[in-house]
Amino acid sequence: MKSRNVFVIAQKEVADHLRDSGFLVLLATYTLIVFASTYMYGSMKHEASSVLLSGIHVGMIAMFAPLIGIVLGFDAVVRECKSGSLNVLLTHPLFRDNIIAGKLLGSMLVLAAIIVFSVFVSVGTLLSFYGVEIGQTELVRMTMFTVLTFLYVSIFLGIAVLISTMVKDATDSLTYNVVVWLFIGILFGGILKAVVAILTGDTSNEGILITQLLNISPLHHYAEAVLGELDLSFGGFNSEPVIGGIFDTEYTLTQCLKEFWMNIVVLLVTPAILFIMAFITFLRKDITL
Amino acid sequence: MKTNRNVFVIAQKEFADNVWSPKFITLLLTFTVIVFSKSYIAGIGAEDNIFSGRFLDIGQIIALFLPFMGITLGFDAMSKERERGSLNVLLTHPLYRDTIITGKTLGAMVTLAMVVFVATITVLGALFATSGAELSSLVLNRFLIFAILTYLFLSIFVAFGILGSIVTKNATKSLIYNIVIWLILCIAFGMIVATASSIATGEKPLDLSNNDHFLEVNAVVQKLSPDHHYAMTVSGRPSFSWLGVSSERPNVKGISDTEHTLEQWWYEFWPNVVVLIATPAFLTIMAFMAFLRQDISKDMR
Repeated sequence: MKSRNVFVIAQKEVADHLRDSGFLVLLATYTLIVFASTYMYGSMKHEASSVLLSGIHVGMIAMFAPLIGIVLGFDAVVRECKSGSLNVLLTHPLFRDNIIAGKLLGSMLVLAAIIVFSVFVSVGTLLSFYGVEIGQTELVRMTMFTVLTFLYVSIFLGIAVLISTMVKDATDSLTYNVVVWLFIGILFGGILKAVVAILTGDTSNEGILITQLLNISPLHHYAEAVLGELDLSFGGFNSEPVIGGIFDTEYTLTQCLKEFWMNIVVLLVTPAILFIMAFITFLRKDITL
Repeated sequence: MKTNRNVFVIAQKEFADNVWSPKFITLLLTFTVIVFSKSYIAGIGAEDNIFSGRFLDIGQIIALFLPFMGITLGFDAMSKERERGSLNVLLTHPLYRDTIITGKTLGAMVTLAMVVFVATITVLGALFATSGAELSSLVLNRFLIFAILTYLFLSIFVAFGILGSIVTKNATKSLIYNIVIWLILCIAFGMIVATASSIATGEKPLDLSNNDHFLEVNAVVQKLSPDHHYAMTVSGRPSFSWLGVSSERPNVKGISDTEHTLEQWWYEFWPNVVVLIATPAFLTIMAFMAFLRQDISKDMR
């Protein structure tokens, strides 16, 4: 009975998102970026173990997919709170945790659909313009890639919902989310480079300090798990990976998982922690107008 | 006289509103950190001439990410007042609509000047601190022009923001649409144009033996983005955006090319500078016209 409420709210949330013009415009932009980047990247095909896997521009997906997570979550709570509908909603036999659980569930469903869709766009572009081959290995790796991308973007969804429970205004929430996105999703490596240069005077790519500090960034874990790279951010660190993550078909999936299980655990745990934080914050929030 | 004073009162209020909002302060801090970190690394690479080395990286980071700062200055200028209902109250006073929008635009532009000033000082300071180069009038002149170009470029996005705040229903929508404009025009324009021209001409971008027609179309379409004109004047590169293809090679490598005089620079790039001046003016006029005839009831449409 109680869980039905959650699904009703989730359903409403999904319907709201799919009718929201702002969300749809951003989704179209994201799809365009994924398509264009795959097209450009595919034309500079590397001689790698699998043409399909190396043609996917993981960097662009890693940079822009978080925006979808953000736009799905940034007004989850603050919109209801501001319009006064949260108060009305709570006069019904419904607990606060139902509301936030339903909202998170709805947003995560839309997010999962979009991530699958964007992987289809990438693969479709490569198939139709460059006629690459696709086999069972590629399919399995692509599924893993989809799951990892979903986990990575969930982190930004978690941050967005958390911020939306803390601020008073939807535009404030969106602005802060974009700042967080720029900081940890796009420019973390570049800023870290300067920080390390100031602290140690060392501008090379190696160094224990860099490897340690990069662990703070979710992008690092995502890059490690998918490509074996240290960093995918703009102007960040370059590396010569030994095992190219799950996209390296010279190693079996088990070997890859053994090598990168730490990164995958971080990608699993971080969104969970953020969701729990959003739950707790919302449960004790003052929701007067 | 009275009208002029009204404009300045509104501009002053808008400036104060912007500068004291926590959102603006957070953004200013963020972008200062970003620009500083890039300049610091660029300064280490540069030796005697601070324009050598990785100065272009700074231009690129400004062209890619600072437009967001411009957007946040404008995106809620009008919709904020309209949603709160304060616009109606304001208009019961002896005040014309154009006074309000002039004041708002002026306020946002002054705030932007402050942002550009902070950014330029940060770049200059970080570059000199790390490179140990000597300050000369040549460098200062170039930096002044760099700052003016940056200001003109960013004011395009302030104007986009103000226009968005007038034509959209609420501030959230306005911000999302403006973010989309920023993503397309600044970050992804290069790859979108290259993909579109490649599909339209049927030539692959990197097929060096057979891509003349593609490069031609690509170079023409690229001119649609303000990013192109800023990139040309600053660095002589056709675009700062990601994954683009560029074929134009001007003789003067932008304002950072100290081997050419400023006259030569002007001779080469005056059309780009004109575009950078005309675009914000044009957008502001559009915002004016849209606002003067707008329904400003609280729940418009």
